[in-house]
Amino acid sequence: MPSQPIEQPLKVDIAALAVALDTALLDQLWFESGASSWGLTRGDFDRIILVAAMRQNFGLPCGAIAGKNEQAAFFAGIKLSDLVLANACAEGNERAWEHFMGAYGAQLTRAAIAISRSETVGRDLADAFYAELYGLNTREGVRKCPLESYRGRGSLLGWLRTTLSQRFVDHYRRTFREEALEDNVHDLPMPESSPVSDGTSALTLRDAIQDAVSSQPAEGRFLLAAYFLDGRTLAEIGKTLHVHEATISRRLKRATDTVRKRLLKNLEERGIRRRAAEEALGTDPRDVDLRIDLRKLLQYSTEQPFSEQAITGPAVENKSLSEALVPRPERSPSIEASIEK
Amino acid sequence: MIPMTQPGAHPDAEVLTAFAERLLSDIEREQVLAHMAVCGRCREVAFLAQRAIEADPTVAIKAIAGPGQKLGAGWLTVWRWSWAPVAALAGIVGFAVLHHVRRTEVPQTQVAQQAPSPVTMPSAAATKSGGTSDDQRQQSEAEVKRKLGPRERTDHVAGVVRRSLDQKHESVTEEKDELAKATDLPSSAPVSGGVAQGAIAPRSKESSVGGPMVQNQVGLLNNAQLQHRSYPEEARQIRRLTDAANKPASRDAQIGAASESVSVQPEGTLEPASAVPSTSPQLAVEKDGMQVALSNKKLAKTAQLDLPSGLGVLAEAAAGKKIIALDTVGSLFLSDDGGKHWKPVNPRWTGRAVSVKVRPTADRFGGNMLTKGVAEFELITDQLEKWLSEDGQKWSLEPVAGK
Repeated sequence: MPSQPIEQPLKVDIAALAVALDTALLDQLWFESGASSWGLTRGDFDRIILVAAMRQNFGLPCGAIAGKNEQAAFFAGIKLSDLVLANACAEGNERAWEHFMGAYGAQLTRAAIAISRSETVGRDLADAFYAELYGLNTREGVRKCPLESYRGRGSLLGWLRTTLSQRFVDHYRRTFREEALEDNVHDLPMPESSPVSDGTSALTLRDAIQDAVSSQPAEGRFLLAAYFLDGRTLAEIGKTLHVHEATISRRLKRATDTVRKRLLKNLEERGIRRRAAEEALGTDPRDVDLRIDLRKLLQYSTEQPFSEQAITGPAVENKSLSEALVPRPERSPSIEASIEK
Repeated sequence: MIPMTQPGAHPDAEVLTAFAERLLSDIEREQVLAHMAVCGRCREVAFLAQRAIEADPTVAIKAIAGPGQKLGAGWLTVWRWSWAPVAALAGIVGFAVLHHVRRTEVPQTQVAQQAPSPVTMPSAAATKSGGTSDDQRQQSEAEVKRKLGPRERTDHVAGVVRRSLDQKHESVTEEKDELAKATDLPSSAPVSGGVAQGAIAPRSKESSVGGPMVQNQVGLLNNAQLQHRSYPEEARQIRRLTDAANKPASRDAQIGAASESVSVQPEGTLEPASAVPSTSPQLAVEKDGMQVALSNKKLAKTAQLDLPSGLGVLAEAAAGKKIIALDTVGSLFLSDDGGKHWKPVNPRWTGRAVSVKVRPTADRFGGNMLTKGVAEFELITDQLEKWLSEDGQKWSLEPVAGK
């Protein structure tokens, strides 16, 4: 059990917030949460609810004051029981931890094994995650518990799985470079690259690919990336997007056709004949330019924070993304001339 | 408004969880997809989380049931499209079984005659016109039938049936005479209150037929069976006519009818089929008022049995390798090896056993005859008691209502 209580939730000055939660609403929430079944006291419950609500300002923008209806709507839209349990665990409530381990312990271990595809690695991953959840990690002398960041929007189990996946991916990305290369890797011949006539054509093709891919909607780009870059199956993508794999297949084909047409059109607009453009489609995009292969093109991470991207809205976001995917170099007059030729 | 995203390059676990659980609005979903299109890490996290969900058996069951769908509620819809082929298949199988049963249903009948003097009356059950020459003849007849037209075919069939019946009549007459000579018994031994188990069926009370009569069902059945291979249609017609004349009644009624004084008349009323002239000789052979049909094969088989008593075989019944046989003085013997070795069976009945047979399958499960279990063998005494046994060794009296 965590020896040091987490102070952050308790630091909220409830009185200073000047928030008056409706007593009847609190009673209803107390009844609905079922927190009394695992030993939470009513006082702790009220405090947890109030702090959680104020941290999110009842889902309203900063500065807005929530009325009773907004408060009720906010609590109706969150996983109340999970939120109370997570916050109670973050505060170090032993009864809450007992309930948490009974409810999620086995499922978390199973999830870790499934994520890592190894029982040994999975159990290690789960143990490390338990330790992290207990708050054994400290930052500046203060216990940090990841459960504090849970805000009840999705289920607690889903949040645990996602966090576990993040830990695994981060761990893998940190450590895969430390693995020794196999000896035969050095002896591999250079892969045959498709012939690219000259740099000008490669540049033209690269620009055309950029335009074609960036013109796709977000879901189309996600499908292209997941299928062609990550090598995911249609079934995996379908389960992630909650649609049937046949639908994914149709959407993927539509996206591919659209990209192809757009690419041909872009090439023709850049002065390449139709026949030459179709021949150029046989070029492996990874060979167009070593610095700007398709993987880099699609996986280019913007420096703009995700939250800021989101605020811009879909139309603007698409535009910014298309610009951010690959920074277009300034075309020199010589390149323009070669394209015109 | 995305208040639940952590400041940074990636959406936090909360948003990814909401994305996986379809809790995001359309705008938020587009934003997350746009980010995941360019972020391999978040794609990896999303797919790994999905894999973890699939590893959870409870979630897998919910996923099968579908959102908002009760578990087990859709089993009918799952099998909805399977009913039609299953029903069609069941119909075809049922028709085939019925057809097969109709073709192969041969009541095993043992005829025994109670007489003051022991008379060997081998039963005329299950006459089979086997033999290579018969098969060849049947094949040639079938070839001729195929070449003829419908009308010609009818006339041809009538002629063939008549010839066959004539031949059968002659052979049966000869066999009867030979048997009478072999047993050195008067062939005109009177039948007094004869019991013809299995061969006696209460006649229909219709005025056209007359009162209770003993119908030699065996003869006609043998006739039908005789014709079954070569002329199945004609045999079925004969059998239908026979069945119409001898309306099957309950077993109680049969037993009751068997105790009546029986006057057997030469049957001239049965017309097997329209194609067969009414003047055609009956297969049944008159013998002192009782029509007894003899079978070549049965006769030979019965004559082959060598009982320990040294006497002739009055009746025998076989179920697999297990055979029970009555000699002419009513002693019962049992063989478990197909007749090679015999052992006597201690009689529990009073009086004299006069008939044994294997109960037909339909009788085993029908009516109120069998309430204790399945009996294989049936024995009838001159007291009209019916004894049942599964193994031929232990016999039990069949409970008869009213007795």
